[in-house]
Order: sequence, then structure tokens, then C-alpha cells
Amino acid sequence: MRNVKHNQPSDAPEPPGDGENEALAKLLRTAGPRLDPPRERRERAYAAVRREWQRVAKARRKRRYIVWGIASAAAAMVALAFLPSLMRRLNTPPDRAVAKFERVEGGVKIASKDGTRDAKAGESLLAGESLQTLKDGHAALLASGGESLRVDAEAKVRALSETAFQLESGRVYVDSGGKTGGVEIRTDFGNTKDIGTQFSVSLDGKLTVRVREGKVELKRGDEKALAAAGEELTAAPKVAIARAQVPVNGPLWDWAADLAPAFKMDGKPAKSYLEWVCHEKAWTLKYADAKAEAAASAIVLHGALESTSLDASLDAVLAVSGLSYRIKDNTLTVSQTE
Amino acid sequence: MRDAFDSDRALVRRMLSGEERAFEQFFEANFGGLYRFALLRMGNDGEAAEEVAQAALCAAVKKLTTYRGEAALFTWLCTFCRHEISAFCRKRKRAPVSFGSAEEQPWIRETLDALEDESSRLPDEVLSRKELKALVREALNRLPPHYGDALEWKYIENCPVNEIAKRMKMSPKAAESLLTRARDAFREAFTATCSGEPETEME
Repeated sequence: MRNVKHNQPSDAPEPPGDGENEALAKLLRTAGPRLDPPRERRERAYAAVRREWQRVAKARRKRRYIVWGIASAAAAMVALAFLPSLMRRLNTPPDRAVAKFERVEGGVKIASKDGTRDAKAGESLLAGESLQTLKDGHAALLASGGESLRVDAEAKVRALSETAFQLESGRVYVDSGGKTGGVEIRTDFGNTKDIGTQFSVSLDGKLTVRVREGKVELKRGDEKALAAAGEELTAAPKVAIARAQVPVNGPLWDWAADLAPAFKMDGKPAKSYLEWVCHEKAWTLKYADAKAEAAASAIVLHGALESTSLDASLDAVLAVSGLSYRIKDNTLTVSQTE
Repeated sequence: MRDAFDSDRALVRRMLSGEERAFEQFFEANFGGLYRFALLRMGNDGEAAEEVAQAALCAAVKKLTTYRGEAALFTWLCTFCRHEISAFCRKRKRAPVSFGSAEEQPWIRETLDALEDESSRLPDEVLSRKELKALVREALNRLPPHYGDALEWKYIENCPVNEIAKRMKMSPKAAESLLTRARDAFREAFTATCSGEPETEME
């Protein structure tokens, strides 16, 4: 975590300047870091501008094809037999991104038709590419529809489209952000589709689907099963789908919470941060009293959270906000520090 | 700077050929800057800034073939953004926030002097002025995003030049020279902002 502070005057000593550019340094520090647009705004704009760009690029490709066609009419006659497949190729945008890496930790590889490369945060996963996490590797991706897809260590996932991913081994977690039917996780043992939810899918000789929030539909051939929050479905070969109860928080889910993309806290009230933590951990948020709640609403956070565990970020953010907390029975209770 | 415009031209060419990574690079490099550019002019109305920045990028994407690389891509995008701000304000009968001339104010004069003459010091009462923060942010918004990044890393995060070079994927010498250009551009942009001059093309 860096530069986490609330909006009360700081007594910290001013960082050293540049000497010869002291006035400029002071001016820049006075204004503070430039604020990044909130994630939701960025995502909405990204989707809209990308649609427009794809339309423009596609029209241009078609136009270029037409110009080329007129100039080469004779050759085009010969090539007529190949036109349908050529048109299909022209209409398919190359390098179609289906998700973006938000967090990459340890060894994460991307395999494509051009070979294998190391995954980096900020880069895209393209349709047809596979990502593989090594023993120490974890990745969090943002799917095109805004869903969060988190991949545990020693897993292999292939991107089929914007809405479908093939889990070939290991474990993934999906947070659809409350939307329905956003992401389908396919496996050789059956396919899962969310109904506004947080869930995990893992493969180890059988398919296990655990639901934390909302509902998930598991489909295997003609067999269908619906799991609700706190339920687990298991699909093993030649055996009917089994159902069991499962806790919605605790060690089964902590790996996914720790992989959550960093909360963009700059300019946001501490209350929003606390709500986000509780969403990720499936905790209930409570305030010790009205004063604590008012303080959490009034304190505006600045800076950024670097990759760190959620528990560590909670300690750091509350420490600088003058708030303290305790966790009991999956309830996070926040109070003002004495 | 010629090189910067060459890379902008190359980026636009790659976008026109339909390369997804080029689009991502374009969006990542420019959306934040345009959003902040709009935010200051829309009285910190985030929703309006989002609408305007998005409309500006969509309009610019439609006109990508007309980008000739005669100015930095970000400067070119700002012209679309200004147009969208005017249209937005006209439609909603709102007045955009303007940065009228503030040059004659003594505290502005002191700030400009301190920027020009390194021996002058900036008094705390000047630094604590809200208007000063707005002017500095506006000046930063007028810079190409990579200049803003370099200045922020150097003076706010206190990054050593080697680290800036690493982040910028360039040699330390090139990073040092970029910082020099960014400082000059900032001084120029800040002076222009204080005197209420319209944005000029930044290299």
C-alpha cells in the first residue's frame, strides 16, 4: 500500500524536493496526485468507445476491401469461389480481447497460437488464448461484461468468448457484480451459469461448484441442478449430481478475496471501502454507534492500495482513518478509536 | 516533439488496422486525462465529465483518419473534448467553468516568479489557496499524459529517475530529458492557465 491517508492535515515531514525545482515540486505536491476516474466510469466509457472503434475499424476494412476489389476486378472473378470465407475473416476482428488482467501474482503464462508469454497486469486475454497459473501463480481478470474472474494456483483456463471460459484444471472464482448470466464456466464434467452471484468452480477428478451469493445453474447433458448461496454441487463421472451445504466465508473463499483487484479508494469515503471489504469477505457490516458510521462516511481516503491481502489492507486503512474494528460471527463491527 | 507525434501517428495507424492492443493503449493513455480535463470544466460533476470524455473519444475515433500527427494525440483529443463540453453545456443551459485571467493577482504573480526564479520561495499562504490547486491541476491537464505521469512520479511519489525510466521503458538519460521537457511544458502551461490563454499545442 502506498500513500494512504485521510483528508485531515498531515504532520508528516515534506518529502525532499529536487533542489533546483523546489517551487515546481511544491506546486505539484500541493495539488496532489491526479485522480483516476472511478472504475465504473472507466469501464462504461471503455465499452462505449471500444464499440465505436470496432465499428469504425470494421467499416474501414470493408471499404478497403471494396476499393481493392474494384481495382482488381479480373482477379476477383477468379477468387470468387473463396469470397464467403474471405468475408467471414474480414468481419472477425483480429485479436479480440475477452478479458483484462487486473492482478497477476507469481507465475502466470498465456499460451496462444504464437507461443507462450508471461501475463502482466493491464494486458488482455484474447479469445482462443489459454492462461495457466503455476504453483505460485494467481490471476484476477476483468471480463468484458464487468465480471471479476479469479484464477487460483495451478489452474488452466481457456478463453472461448467474452462470456464463456473453459476450466481445464484447478479452481476459479466468479463475481458477477450482481448481474445475471454474465459468465459461463465450462468443464468436461458440466457447464455452470451464474444467476447474479459469487461462486467458485474447481476440478479435481470431479467438478465442484460452490455458491456464495445468488444462484448457479449446473448443466450436464440433460441433467440440470440449481444451487443457492451456501450450497455446493458435485458432478463426478457416472454419478448423479450431489448437493451439500458449504460455508459462505472462511478458508474456502479467502484465496479469492485476497485476489480481489485493488479497491480504487482515492477520493472515496471509508464507508465505501468497508462495504467493499464486506462484499469480498461475505461479512455483515455494522457500526458500533451512529458516530462511527458518520465518521466512516465523512473520512475521505486518498492514495492507493498496492497488492496486499485484504486483511492487511483493512488494518492499514482503518489505522489511518481513526477507526478500529473487530470481527465476530462473520460480522465486521467498526468503531471510532478512543 | 516530432518523435512523440510519430509514435502517436503509428498508434492511430495500428488502431485503424483493427489492432485491439492499440485501442487499449489509446484508451489507457487518454481517458483519464480527458476525464480530468472535463471534470475541471464541469464543476467537478463526475457524471457529466464521464459523458463528455466518452463522447469526445467516440467522436475522435470516428475521425481517426483525419489525425495527421501535427500535434500530440492528446492535444487533438482535447479539441473534441472542448467541443463536447460546449455542446453539453448548451444543451443543459449550463456555463462551463472558465479559467479567466488571474495573472494580475499578487499571489499568482508570486507563484509565477518562483517558477521562473529558483531563488524565490513560495509562501505557505499562497500554497494553501484552493484556487492554486485548481490552476495546477488545469496546467497538468494541458500536458500530454506521459509528461503528467513523469512529473507526478518524480515530485509526488519521489521516484528516482531510474525508476521513472523503468516505468517509461526508456533509458535513464532519456527519462531525465523527458523530465526536463515536462517541467518546461508545465511552466508554460501554468503561465498560460494563469493568464487565461486557451490551450496551446504541447510537444
